Amino acid sequence: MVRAVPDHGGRGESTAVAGRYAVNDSAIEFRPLFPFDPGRTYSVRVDPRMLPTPRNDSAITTEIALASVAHVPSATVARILPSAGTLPENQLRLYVEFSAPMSRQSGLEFVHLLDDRGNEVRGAFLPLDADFWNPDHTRYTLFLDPGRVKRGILPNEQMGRPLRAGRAYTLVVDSAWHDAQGLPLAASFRRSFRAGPATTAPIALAAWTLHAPRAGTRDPLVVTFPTPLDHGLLRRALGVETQRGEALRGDVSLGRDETEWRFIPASAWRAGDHRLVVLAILEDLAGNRVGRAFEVDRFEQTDSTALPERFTLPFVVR
Amino acid sequence: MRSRVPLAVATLLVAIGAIVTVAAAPARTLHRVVHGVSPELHSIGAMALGSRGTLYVADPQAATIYALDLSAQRPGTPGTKDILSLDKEIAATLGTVPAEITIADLKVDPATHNSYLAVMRGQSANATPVLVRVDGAGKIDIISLGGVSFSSVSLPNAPDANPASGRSNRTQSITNLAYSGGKLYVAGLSNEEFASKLWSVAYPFKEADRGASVEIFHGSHGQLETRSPVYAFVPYSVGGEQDLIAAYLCTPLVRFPIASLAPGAKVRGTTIAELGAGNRPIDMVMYKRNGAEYLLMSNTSRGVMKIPTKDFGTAAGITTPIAGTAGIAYETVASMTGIQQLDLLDADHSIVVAKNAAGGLNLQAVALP
Repeated sequence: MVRAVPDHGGRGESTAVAGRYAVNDSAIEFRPLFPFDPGRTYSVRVDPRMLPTPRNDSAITTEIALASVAHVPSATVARILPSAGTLPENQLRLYVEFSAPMSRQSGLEFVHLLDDRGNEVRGAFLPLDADFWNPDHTRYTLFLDPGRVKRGILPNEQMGRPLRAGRAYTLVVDSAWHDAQGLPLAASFRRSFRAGPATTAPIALAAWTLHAPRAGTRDPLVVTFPTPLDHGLLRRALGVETQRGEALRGDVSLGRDETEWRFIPASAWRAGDHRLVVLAILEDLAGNRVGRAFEVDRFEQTDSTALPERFTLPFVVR
Repeated sequence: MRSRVPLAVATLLVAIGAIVTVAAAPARTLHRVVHGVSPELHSIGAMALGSRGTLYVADPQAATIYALDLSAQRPGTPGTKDILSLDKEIAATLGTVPAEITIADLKVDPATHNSYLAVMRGQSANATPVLVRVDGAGKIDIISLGGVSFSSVSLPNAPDANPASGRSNRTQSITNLAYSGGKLYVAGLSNEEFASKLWSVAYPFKEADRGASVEIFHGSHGQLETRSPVYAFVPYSVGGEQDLIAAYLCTPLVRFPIASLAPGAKVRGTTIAELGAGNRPIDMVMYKRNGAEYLLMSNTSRGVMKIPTKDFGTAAGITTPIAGTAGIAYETVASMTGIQQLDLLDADHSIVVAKNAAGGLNLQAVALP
């Protein structure tokens, strides 16, 4: 019988590890249903009296310690987005990017928002156990509690917004957060920013500037916005197509604290009419969308149909 | 006859070298229905029980819902049995320790009263999904999906205006599943856009049925209309009308008719209660007591709420600022604390996964309040 020994030592759980046993003349083979954990100790007890052909020998118990994969913490926080030094007080979410894949643990207990006196802002983040990692577990999404961010919702009435315009804050990420190897971060991380006025207007496409590239080049199409937009959504909510609706392949980069989107096509621009495609899922830092603020007044007068799924802005390549 | 070969201590076929690199979630096609045997889940999350022994299981990593036919499984002893330190017992069975497992959901089979638990083994990106059953003898069985017949449906693809730009960082968690009237309802959260979409699809899954994706809005006190993801919900019928009672992330409890969930529709729910700050609903069940019906809802930080449903159909929406919790009044059930998972067992009992004094988790049948 094989048992996992708890991390704090001791005699191990009484429950056997699930797996298959095979007995031959010289050995018992145990194949666990799930791979053994690296770094864990397993207790193995063999009772010859329980063999298919029982023997009268006394039972043998031993422990087998498996090697760990890595010992030295190396993962770090690479950056925290948005990049801007001032965030609206109704900021909706933050992205924490790591240098290496992290564990599946919820990040909430490792993240602290401190005010300008160094006091923790309690209840700032949404208490969620859902997995807000990107597919390779290198980016964690942190939602500021939308019930506190949105006006007219009870938590907002009771506690106010977690961020207050005019004040300075520091986001601290504890080094105790485990990476995918089960090791803590190599260092804790601090990021300071200021809170500014709330952003409550919808994204206005009319305020965007498009710098059209020249035909025959692979110069970037540069789109600038008056205020920062969400880093995660910018990467997939904008695209370029020809007048005939053919999507262009290309590389996207973001700049100037997420107020600039650059697109370099895979092949040289052809002269003619093009369109910048803006999907309706695009949000600014406070969750406002194109043509629709996060919070819409005059509830009774809103449409009963969903908004269009995409918008387009024409530009000409000459 | 006694063997003369000395008995070697067990040869452990240690699979360490093979810390399995689970294949990345498959590239998703626009809409995919698969019927087959031996499903290979990438992850396991929310579950729901349908009719005829069908267990619906979400694989959030692959954005896919599986309908598993468990009718050919070797049955467990009917009934339920409390398990002290359920997390330790499951972890030990899986060859690890409680910190390395996550119990994502609990559903009780109404026919056998056995509990199904969705468990993730491991905390790394390569964590393994496991379906566990606890039977009436207290036996913990790992349900092998080998040989299990299934059909699966993928959720609608996330929009991407520039698919060639590189790997998307978007993921979608599935927070709640419910089966009602031949349809499966799915709520989820994205790690990027703050959408409020509820998706429904008829079962059996058909290639032609792409399901309906509906935007669910709700009003707030200050005459504002906002969007927020639905986190948990439960089907409910009043006066012949089929409704969903849904709890939003920003705490309102909202009712809307199922009939309104037409493709592309924008549905405005009626806010019938607000549940307070710093809180998230976990599970919701309906039950009857002395002729009256109640909604029992477990929460992360506000305990278990018992809410009479008699006014659900007629409650006026909350549209004016009210201090404190507002709308339909609820009672906090003092006897139910530390509840992490909740489902109905029978007319008089629920089954819960609850924190114990040692910080571990117990599986317990608890009388309904």
